[in-house]
Amino acid sequence: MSVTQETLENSELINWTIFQELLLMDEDEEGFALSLVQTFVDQASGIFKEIEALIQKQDPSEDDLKRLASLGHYLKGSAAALGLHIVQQECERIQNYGNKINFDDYEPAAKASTVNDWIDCIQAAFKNALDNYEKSKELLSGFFGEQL
Amino acid sequence: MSLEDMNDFRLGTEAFTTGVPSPPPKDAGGAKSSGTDFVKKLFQMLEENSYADIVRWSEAGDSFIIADTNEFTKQVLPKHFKHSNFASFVRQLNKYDFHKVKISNELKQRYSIENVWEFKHPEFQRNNREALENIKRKVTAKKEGDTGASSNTVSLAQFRNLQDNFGFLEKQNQSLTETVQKLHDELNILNTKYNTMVSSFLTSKSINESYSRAINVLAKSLTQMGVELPPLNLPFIDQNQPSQEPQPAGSMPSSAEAPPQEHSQFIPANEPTKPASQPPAGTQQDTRIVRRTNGSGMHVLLVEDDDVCIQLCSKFLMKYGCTVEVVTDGLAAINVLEKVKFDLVLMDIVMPNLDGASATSVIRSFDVDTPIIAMTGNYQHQDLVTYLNHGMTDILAKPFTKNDLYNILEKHHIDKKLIYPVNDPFNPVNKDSPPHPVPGQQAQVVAPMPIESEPLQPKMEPDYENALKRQKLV
Repeated sequence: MSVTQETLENSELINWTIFQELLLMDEDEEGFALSLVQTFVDQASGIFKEIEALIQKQDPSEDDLKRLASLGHYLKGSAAALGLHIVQQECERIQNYGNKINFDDYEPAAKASTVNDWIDCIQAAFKNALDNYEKSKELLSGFFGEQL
Repeated sequence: MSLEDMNDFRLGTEAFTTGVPSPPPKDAGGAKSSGTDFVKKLFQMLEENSYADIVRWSEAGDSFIIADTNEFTKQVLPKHFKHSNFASFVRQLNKYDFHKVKISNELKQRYSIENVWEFKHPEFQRNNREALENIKRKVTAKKEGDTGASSNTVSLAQFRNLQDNFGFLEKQNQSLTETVQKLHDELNILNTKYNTMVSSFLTSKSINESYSRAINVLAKSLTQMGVELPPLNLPFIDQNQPSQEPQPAGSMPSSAEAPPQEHSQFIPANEPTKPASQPPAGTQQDTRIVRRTNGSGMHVLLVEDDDVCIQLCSKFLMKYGCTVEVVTDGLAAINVLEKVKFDLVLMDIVMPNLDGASATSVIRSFDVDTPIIAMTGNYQHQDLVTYLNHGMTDILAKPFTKNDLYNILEKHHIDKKLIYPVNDPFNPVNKDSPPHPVPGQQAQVVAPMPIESEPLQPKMEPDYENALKRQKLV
């Protein structure tokens, strides 16, 4: 599958204004955008693993929720920097549910009372985040012509 | 009749000495129609004119003159009024609404009449005994006063009530003031404790770091000697590793920026442990400037824990000719800022060890003028206010573009030192008109944000200084 600039522009996964800036950086340093994306992928895969491990814990604690919130926040920042705004949104949900805040009127979150309820909410957001992340990764792999 | 006079006199004295309102005078009812004896006596005495050189009618006959108060007091008063107190006599006159006629100083001097008093009353005239009936004690005036008082004032019950209210408010006010004072004191104590804690925290962190390094060295030599060791989990060594790598790896070949970049990373790791206590401000400033990277137009400290953001942001900055140092948490930021003077600090908020806002408030205790810009994804108004209250200069919302970053730099008049890429839209050469921000124009575009700028740094260039002055004027 060949991915052109136009494909990226039209993709709803990516905020083109932001991503375009990264590409402009290539002008005076070739491969900068790619190296940045690689950094992100390395970082994100680690964080996704950590989130997954926390979600699957048998008896999650309040501290685990806090940790999830902080991981969500962290990934939100780097996703935002690359213009991956769907991933960014889902990470923001993880962050908020981890802090027990139902910031987007998500129905299960409105009913959530125990730690496990919140973990369930995070689970849903996590699935979306991972899903979109994989799609974005694939898209960008095609664009850069390099498997990320 | 003398009794009543005495009564009058007594009341008069009372009224003047204590201010207590006298009860309604006895003569108010009975003697009302026939005037009063005091006035009649006075009139009679003047008509007889037996002391012409002491007291007499004036030429016009509408006032009387006491030419010699001493003699008047000595001779006339005891005889006609049963006392020898001139002041009392004057008070009596006042009571009947007589007025003293003012004699100008000029006249007094010209005729050397120091002791002359002249009194008049519209109804007190020579040869006009009937008119005396109209002269009354100022009862009416008093009555007016009484009625006026009753309409202006409140009943005793109401007064008590108000008094109680007032007392209550006063007490409440006092206790509130005390509470505020107490809270203020406590806050001061807490602040001191907090600052002390942070600095001892910093010290212990440096000590820990040096332990980590020492253990690492020991472990290495042990391994070299063939001793098998369990994996060591040394926090500080580990932490530095990942962030240190990407930067040189992804860095550009450009020779101009390469040298500062190479030693741009992690001052705390290179510098020996330094006690957290701060040297006097003056010398500190100097050494802080000396320690800057040479040949840097703009020296920027980036405090950020996300590699992606670090790479991107430092890239943006380097594009404008800035030299960038990176630290990954608030504690490290404080550490570096104690040693090096920067032109700008870009600070993330959520970070391990110490968050950006708290770090800023500590930094502000020794550095008030370096702009510290918060980089944050929190847009909530309350958060933003909190950041500003912690001493942060402004806020840069994440994610930001190169233009956002530039706009912030321009807003705080720290864009002068930037080195623009040739084709950059912000390059003054490329700007249509006028080439570079004109003072007035700049002030319009930008809502002024106060940067605490005293004392002006010696290293400041004149234009930067002017920019600050301008800002103050705005």
